[in-house]
Amino acid sequence: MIRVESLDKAFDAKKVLSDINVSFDAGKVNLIIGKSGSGKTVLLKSIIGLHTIDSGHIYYGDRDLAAMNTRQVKELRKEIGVVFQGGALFDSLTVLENVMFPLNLFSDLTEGEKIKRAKFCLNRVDLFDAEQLYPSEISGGMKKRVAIARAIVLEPKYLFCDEPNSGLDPLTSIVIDNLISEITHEYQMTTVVNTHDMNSVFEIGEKIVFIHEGRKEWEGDKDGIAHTDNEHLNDFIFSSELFKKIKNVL
Amino acid sequence: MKFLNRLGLYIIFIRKAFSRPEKRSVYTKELMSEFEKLGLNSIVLVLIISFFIGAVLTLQTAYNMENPLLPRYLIGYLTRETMLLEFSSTIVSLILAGKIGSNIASEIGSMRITEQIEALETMGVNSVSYLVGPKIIASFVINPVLYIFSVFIGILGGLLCGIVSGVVNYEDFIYGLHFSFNPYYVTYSIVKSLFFAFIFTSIPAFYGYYVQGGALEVGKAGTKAVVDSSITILVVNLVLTQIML
Repeated sequence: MIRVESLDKAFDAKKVLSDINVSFDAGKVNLIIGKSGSGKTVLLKSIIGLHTIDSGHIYYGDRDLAAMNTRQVKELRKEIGVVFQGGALFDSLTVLENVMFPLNLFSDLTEGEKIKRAKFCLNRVDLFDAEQLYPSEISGGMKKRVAIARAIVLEPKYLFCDEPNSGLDPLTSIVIDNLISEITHEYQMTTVVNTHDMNSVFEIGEKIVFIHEGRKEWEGDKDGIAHTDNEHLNDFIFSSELFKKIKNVL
Repeated sequence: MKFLNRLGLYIIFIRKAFSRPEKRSVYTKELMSEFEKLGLNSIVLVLIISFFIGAVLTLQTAYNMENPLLPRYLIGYLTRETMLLEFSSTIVSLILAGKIGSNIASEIGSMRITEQIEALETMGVNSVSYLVGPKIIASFVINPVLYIFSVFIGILGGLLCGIVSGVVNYEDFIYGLHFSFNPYYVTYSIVKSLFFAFIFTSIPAFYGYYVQGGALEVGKAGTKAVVDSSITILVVNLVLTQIML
């Protein structure tokens, strides 16, 4: 479980996040939703520790991120897997080498064992026969799968995904969503996904946090979101004609 | 004030580049890859340029020595001195600042804008040490080697061109090469090439690492990196020459 308490973050004079209090449950897919520029990526990167927060606390279980020393943060990082928006695969490495990269750094496995583990993770995300290809030679959907395989190769306790569906077609988006959901339940991870894809919200959102202009405006599940009376959330969710019609049916 | 801020950031950046690596074997692999990228991929360019510059130096020296009282061996002597003291260390480093510098800035800059550096950080990797440290170490080793190759090939170019064009004979040229040779000049030039190697890898890496924005900004960072590292090389060249000679 991850708990965020009274988190504030500003860049120079511009306040991006104000008084965020939220918890993300273990074994569930937790979604952070909000408009572009609402601060959800900053929140995700603050939780991961890529941004230094101005005030507040971030607890991984009972460990306070702000109170950890460098060695403890490094230890924590081994428990974290991150899937970035564009995949963030290393261009100079093959697919297999990308997945093996965390193993090379943090495991004492033999070369053969590392290859076996990396291939297992690639197969788990339904990628076969792509091991020797470079990131520039594979599609966007495949890149996301490789990024997921790399994120889970060390069997992390926490998985963070920043807009995993961006740039993907609706069908591939659903495949990626389902993959994230399956892996979360299989490994009982605390998964936090940043998204503004409504299909993802209704498909895999077990806990949903809505961020509006740097503040947490709503928290609930996918059943609750359809009947919310929060004006900003309604505007966000039911912005398209299709979703407005669906709301009327609901 | 802005300059001092940048300088402070650069010093911290360099300190991070030489901090203790997470796992030596991974860094060693990266170092080997940098030897190939920075060294082997530059050697052909350096050899070609050195050969032709050596040849041109010989011809130009010969055509400027119309006085029959000047001995012909001075052609070999001046070609050696120019290659040894200035061309093979400073000019080759300026060329490498253009070739390698823009490459480093765009490589690291692209990694920044595609979140690859953030991916490294989230894995607990000191990204500066992993990405920049091996580049600086590789260029430290490679640049003096390139300097030595450049001197030899430049002199060879001069010798061949001198003989083929008939401006100097083999014996005179070789005599000129041995004439008044000061081995300290080699030490001086190798020290310079070490400083220049540090400059043309660390400055572009710094610009690439802190790039913000998109492809346009990466391009601008590459250009700025080449300009700044070239100017720094020229200034450091002047200072080192004043100190060492």
